Amino acid sequence: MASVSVSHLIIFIASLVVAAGVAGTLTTGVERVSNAVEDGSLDVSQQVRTDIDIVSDPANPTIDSTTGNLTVHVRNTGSQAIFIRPDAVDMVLNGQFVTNSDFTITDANGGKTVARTGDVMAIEIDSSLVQSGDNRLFLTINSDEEVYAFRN
Amino acid sequence: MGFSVSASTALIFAALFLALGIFYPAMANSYERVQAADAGQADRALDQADSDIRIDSTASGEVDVTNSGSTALPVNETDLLLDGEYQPRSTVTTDVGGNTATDLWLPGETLTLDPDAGLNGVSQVRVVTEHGVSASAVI
Repeated sequence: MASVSVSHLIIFIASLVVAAGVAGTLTTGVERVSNAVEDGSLDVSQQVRTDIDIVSDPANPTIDSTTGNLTVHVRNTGSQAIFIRPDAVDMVLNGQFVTNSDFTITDANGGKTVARTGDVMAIEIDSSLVQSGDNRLFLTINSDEEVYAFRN
Repeated sequence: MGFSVSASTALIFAALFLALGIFYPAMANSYERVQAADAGQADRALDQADSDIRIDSTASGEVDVTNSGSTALPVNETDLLLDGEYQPRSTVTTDVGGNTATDLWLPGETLTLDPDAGLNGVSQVRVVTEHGVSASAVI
């Protein structure tokens, strides 16, 4: 009967090892998914909080007479702070993507580096992308899209 | 064979319980965070719907704007554009019924904006307040 109990013991240990493997994989997988869900919720809540408004007048675009650069003023009307850096803003002017080197972004009322609720940013776009006649600027900050259509 | 089945089942149940304990707080926190953001957005939308301004007059080089909505607006977050030119807030003096220090522009009150640049030769004036609510006037 000793051989029976030894084989029982081996099978017992084997089944416990398999169960432990399954348990470990299960908890690792669930932990990964829950981390991903939590990170995703952080992104979604930031996007929901972000709201911007273009305060520049479409009938009177601010185009510098010497350089030809277009200046657009954007106000943060949401509750998410926006960094005043070129990589925070994505723009397409007349179908052309405005690269980070083609525009400068500053605080319109001082030298702040972060635009909080109520702050206005000034974006100056190089004249090479501004056409004469109808122009359309499509601006995206944190998935919030705004359109500024004007006539030069 | 008998006891090993029970032991493995017990181990797997314990693991499921642990997994649930990891997953539930993450889901609950995530849901709450997005709900809070949605609630904030709804509050802002309501505040925006309640806000309204009206340009009364531009006599004597100053712009008179009345708060015709039902919410108080902040004076130091009001922007002025003359012919599309943004006037930096430091160059515009504000005045609510004679009070230059107040930041509250209550419903029914008139805010007087006095830009350093003056209104000579300006044909269009635009005032923008909280939430992007704005009013334009041709002078």
